[in-house]
Amino acid sequence: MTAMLIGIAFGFALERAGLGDSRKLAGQFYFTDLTVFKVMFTAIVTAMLGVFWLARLGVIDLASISVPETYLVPQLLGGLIFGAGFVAAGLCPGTSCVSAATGRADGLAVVFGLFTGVLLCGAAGLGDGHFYNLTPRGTETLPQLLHVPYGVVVFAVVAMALTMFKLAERFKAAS
Amino acid sequence: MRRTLATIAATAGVLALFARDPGTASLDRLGKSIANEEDHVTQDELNQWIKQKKSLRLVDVRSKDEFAKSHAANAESIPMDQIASAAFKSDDTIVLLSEGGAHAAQAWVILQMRGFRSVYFLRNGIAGRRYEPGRDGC
Repeated sequence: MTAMLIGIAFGFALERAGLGDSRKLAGQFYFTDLTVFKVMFTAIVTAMLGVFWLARLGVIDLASISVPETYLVPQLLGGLIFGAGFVAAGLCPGTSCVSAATGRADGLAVVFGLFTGVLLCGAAGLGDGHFYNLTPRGTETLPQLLHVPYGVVVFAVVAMALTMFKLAERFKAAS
Repeated sequence: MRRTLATIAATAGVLALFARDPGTASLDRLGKSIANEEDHVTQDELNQWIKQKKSLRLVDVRSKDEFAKSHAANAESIPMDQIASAAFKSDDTIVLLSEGGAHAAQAWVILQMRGFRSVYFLRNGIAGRRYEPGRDGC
């Protein structure tokens, strides 16, 4: 029930941000509309600062947050397929559901393609676990990978986001 | 509005540079788990779990050679030097086995730091099980 309510709220927020429109999302890849970039970077910075400071203040236990494990080769390949599909369709899995829910035909087509792909992968035997478990790196985080304190990574990401936001605004004004 | 949010984010980001690493709270939790003896299972508890838990994984952290000589039924071999990168599911209940229990306890810390919560080690290790009266070894 909680998951459903959060899902509906998330979908509503995506739609209100205009991310159910494939032209808006595709515009990201042609640098004509940087809404996706700004929405995603805002979400990353908000979540990162929230997790860091809530953990620092003892409100949440950092170790109780599940960190997905990294499997380098399968995730690189998955990222490439995901990116190619994103450019071709103008929608990612989440926004395709939002688009379909608002009755857009392209959203419905992407959702259909998404589940067809899932079924074909399963039927092809890719779900047997062998490929998915290649090149395991454990629950590696940026501070561990870069050997720098957590706070330094938080600062760097915030600085990068604010700089990129500024550049995006200038880019928008110039175009 | 945007300027205000950017200022809040920038302030929180700069302050993070000087804040104590929040990961130390996790170390406090580990210390409490150990003090409360929530980090290990006894042989009797393990016998019960084997009957009850479907997703129980018995992980033997000894070397491959030691494992080949003898090992507990249904145990899998993941030597100590591979524990940090071994694949586990988040809903697995993992019981770590080693000869005397010390290496299994160290592997417990590694898996806790990797974020796995249902992890335990066998108290007194395989040797303790072997020497328990009425048992015939692993």
